[in-house]
Amino acid sequence: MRNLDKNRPVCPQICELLCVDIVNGVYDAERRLPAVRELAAGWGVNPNTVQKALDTLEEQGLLHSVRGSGWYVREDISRAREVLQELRIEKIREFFAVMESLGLSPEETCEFVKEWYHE
Amino acid sequence: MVKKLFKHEIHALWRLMIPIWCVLFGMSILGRFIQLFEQETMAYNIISGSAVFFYVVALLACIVCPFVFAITRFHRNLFSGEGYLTFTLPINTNQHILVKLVVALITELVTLVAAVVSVILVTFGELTVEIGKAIWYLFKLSVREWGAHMPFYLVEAVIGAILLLAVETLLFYACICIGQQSKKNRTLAAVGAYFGFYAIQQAIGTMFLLVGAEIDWKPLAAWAVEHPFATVHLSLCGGIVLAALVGGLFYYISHRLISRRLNLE
Amino acid sequence: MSELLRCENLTKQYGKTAALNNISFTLESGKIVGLLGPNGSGKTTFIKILNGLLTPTSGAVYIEGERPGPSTKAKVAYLPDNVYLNAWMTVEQIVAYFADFYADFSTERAFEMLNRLGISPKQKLKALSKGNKEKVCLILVMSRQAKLYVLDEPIAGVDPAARDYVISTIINNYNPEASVLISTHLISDIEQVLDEVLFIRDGHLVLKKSVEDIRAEEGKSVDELFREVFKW
Repeated sequence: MRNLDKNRPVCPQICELLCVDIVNGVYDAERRLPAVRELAAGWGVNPNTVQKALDTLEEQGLLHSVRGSGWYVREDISRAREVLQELRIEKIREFFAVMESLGLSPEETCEFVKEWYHE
Repeated sequence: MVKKLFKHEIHALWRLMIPIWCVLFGMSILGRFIQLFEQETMAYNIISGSAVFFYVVALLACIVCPFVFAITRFHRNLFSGEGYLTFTLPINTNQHILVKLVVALITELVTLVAAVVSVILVTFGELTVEIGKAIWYLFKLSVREWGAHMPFYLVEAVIGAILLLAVETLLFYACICIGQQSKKNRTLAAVGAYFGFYAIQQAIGTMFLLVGAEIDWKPLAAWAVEHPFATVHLSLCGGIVLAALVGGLFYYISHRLISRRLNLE
Repeated sequence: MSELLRCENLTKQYGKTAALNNISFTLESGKIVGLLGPNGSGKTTFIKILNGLLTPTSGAVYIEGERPGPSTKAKVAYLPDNVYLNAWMTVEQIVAYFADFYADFSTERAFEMLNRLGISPKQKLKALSKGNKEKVCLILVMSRQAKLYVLDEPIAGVDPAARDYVISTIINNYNPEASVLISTHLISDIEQVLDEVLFIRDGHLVLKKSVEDIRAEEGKSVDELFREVFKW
């Protein structure tokens, strides 16, 4: 419910949220993530989905799990930065594609965004 | 599991009965209290007379109470909203019905004992001693007349009485279960079932009378005169078997309807 | 993932109308499943059969291979769609009642949740507000370590705050070996919690699908899909 888009699969959205939090250093102090259930309750989503998202992030090298203890953020967050970068680029590509269908080329879109934003 | 069911059933029924037993006891105390002021005046006679009247009425009401409560409990616990919980407990239908029946019978017996104690309390004095003596005399007399048969008669009679109580309770259980099958008015259907059973019982009775009128009873009567003890045993045991059969039938009806055709709203 | 629930040609007939019509499906353990359909589509009938409160006209339902009976009732925790508590008991007594009959019930967990809501154990059930009564019912059900939780319309007729409470209680007490079956017609509030949905209409099963698949393949929320399927 909170901050999540119901029209898109939830799992990637949770990956994105966690990725941003990791890069922003939300979990720096302990490096340990809250329990799956807590995370799920906080976002109001299915615990199995959160589990899947954590598994994905582990595969991507952002997290590692310790048996019987939980999930930890990897010391080196450069991987997280990369993943986040990829996500951002992907979104921009999608955005460009949408704008293209509305008659703006990527360059024109950049110009347009700058002008519009300064207003 | 049955033990726990029993505990909760006792709790549910006795929480209603304990005040009633207290009333019985309280009335006895009040009765004794009134007797303290015994005198030969009009006022006292009126007061004590009406007290006796109310006492008897209340006594009868108390004896009927466990019966009414047990039947209401059966209906409410199984077929009202509570039924959603009752029927999702890991307990089978036999356990549900039997525990309710046994608790109802125990409660009825306890109430009867309480009623007797109450009467003894209120009348305690020369009269009680006289009544005690009379009972003792009857007991001795019966032992002398019936000899070794006496304890058996007693046991048979007690079993028969409890069984009759059980049959009556099971009859109401069956009526309630039949009433639940109705889509519209379940209470009305239950009352209808009761009168249905009553009509069937009358019909069977009439049939026996008609058949009985055709039979030559003389040889049987002669046998009965020759073997008086056996005759009493036979009729008592016959009664027990008949009651068990009828009770079994009512039990079967309730069990079948609950386990196969449960239909909570 | 082991099979938890199996329905075989389940049919329930009321006179001539079929409340459930030849429904067959299986559910695995470890899932939160939404049983979705408009009012009167057969959701409650199905749930009652599952709990042994109704007997099917034909077909059967199996919970871990067994038909509904005392042994399945020991592992299914059921929240009916109406308040069923006997009014004369206190909160404490109903907790003891559950603890007596359900081996998987945790008294400690129940009191912890009651405490968090500020419901006193000494209170009579009939003295509770309607909202608190519903919460007590939910707490009793969720304090069990059941194999299957069956919640019939847990969020119908409750205010949004209570709705959040219900949802977070379900998530917080969920364990990955169990499954939760939630019936509702208010989909948007609960769809994010679900793994899978079953759509039923007029007693027919019309769709059984993972919600992530719905979002990925259709690009729309379960609620939108529901509105499309049940358009009239």
